[in-house]
Amino acid sequence: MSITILKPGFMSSVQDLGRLGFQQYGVPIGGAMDVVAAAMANIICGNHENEAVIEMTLHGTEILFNEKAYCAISGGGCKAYIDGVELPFNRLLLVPAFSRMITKADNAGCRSYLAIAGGLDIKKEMGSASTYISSGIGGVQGRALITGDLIPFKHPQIHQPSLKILPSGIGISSWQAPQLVLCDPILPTIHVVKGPEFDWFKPSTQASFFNSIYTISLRSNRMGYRLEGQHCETLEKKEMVSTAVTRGIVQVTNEGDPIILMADAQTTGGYPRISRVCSADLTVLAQCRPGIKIQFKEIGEEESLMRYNKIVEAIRRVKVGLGNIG
Amino acid sequence: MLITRIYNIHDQAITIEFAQEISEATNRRVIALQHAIESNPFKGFIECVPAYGSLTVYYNENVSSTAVRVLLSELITQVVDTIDASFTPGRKISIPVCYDPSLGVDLPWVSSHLNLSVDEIISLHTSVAYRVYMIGFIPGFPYMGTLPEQLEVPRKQTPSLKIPMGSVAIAGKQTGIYPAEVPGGWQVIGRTPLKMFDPSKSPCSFLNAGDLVSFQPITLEAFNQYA
Repeated sequence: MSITILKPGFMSSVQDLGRLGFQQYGVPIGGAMDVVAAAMANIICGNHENEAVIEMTLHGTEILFNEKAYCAISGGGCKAYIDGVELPFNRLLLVPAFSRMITKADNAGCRSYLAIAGGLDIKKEMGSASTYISSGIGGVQGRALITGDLIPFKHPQIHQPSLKILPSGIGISSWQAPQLVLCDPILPTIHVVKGPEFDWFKPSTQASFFNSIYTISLRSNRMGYRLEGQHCETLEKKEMVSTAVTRGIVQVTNEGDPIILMADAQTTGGYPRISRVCSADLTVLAQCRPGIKIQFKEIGEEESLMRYNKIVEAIRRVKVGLGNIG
Repeated sequence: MLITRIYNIHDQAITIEFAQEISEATNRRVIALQHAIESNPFKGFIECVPAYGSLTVYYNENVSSTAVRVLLSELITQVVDTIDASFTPGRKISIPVCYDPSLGVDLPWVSSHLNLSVDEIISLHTSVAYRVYMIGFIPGFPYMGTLPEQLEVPRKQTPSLKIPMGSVAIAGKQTGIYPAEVPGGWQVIGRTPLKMFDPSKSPCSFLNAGDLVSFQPITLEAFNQYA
């Protein structure tokens, strides 16, 4: 059982929830940019949430299903079709053998996740299937997917779920998993906490940062989002001794440009960290495409934790809920 | 006070900062605390990331940040008296380096900047053992120090787009080895034939924080025989 990548679109790669345990050797956690969407696609399929999925950036991906498969798509950034039939997100789908799925532009979002019941059969490297392109680790030969890649999938755990079958043979579940994180398509608010070096910055920067609007630069990728807008100025030019950084950290380069570190962020860094994104909002950021504007809003440590716990609890409830459907 | 501050860098990661400095005594404490945590991991513990003067601890949703802070503060209080005595000496590792100018491409610049001959640079660089303070930047990249004062040079104004794998480089008080071909700003003075990062090996990194590294000069012929 397998699928074939006919077109990778803007960029597609195999990801799971990340590679843990090797950061002390400089290996980033990596994994899905939108961990909530990746987990959700898996949960809908009855998979463990850490199964390997295909992360599709924006649109233009084409995938051939060589066999019948149960699958699910979560996230955003595209609309998916088979023979002109739109495939709804966050529902269990049955795709007949030899179906060709294509994705077309949508007006919001950035990354969608295709999970297949049973899970993609990808050999884990250093404990994870996640593709870390810079070091050529994981996924399919450590690289982004290309035309012709054949990806086998494992035998599904799902047994004859009740689906509404369309004339085309495509099956769609009547239930829909909730969209846990909503991303304002016009001006998403990103909640941030003061960073460890916040007091290194000039009072003017301190005062304006939390109300400022920034544009996500076109020079953004899975490692980090460069922000265009007001420069952040430090009180003095002092060298920072390198220390650990991770996704969500907003560091400021010597030129004063803020960069939000994302999934493939390096493990250590030496730039002052003006703030950090509340972990729950990383999933919102993952759905922000280059060119759009975001607005920061300051929250405290406790609220950041509370927001994070709310997401963890919501995922748990969906898991329990779907477990009851079967 | 043993530590200067403790803060979250993520809702599931806490940093314990001993001091923002490059000092062997401080880095020993970082590694000692890492060993103390790893030898008796708490519920929900994922991993530790040692840096020059700080240790960052990652954990999962099975434990609360508040609980981890309390736990780490208690652990630090417990180990405070023994932390300086309890460190395990790092492994002593010898790394062959070819300092031929065809591989150490910045040797001419370093030589004129420091007013030292290439032979003097080699003998200075190989004269001391370096502590691996941390691994970071890219997988397997060791930050090592402390470089003899006479060898201190600034980083490049404009980073090189491609520094070859195995390049041994210097910047400020530090020396490092590029484990892969990447852009970089340090001055390259030689190259080692050893692989600093190999995902198929366990551990994947040739060096660990806490190791003691000395460099052995080898000829270009010897370097080529490794391949």
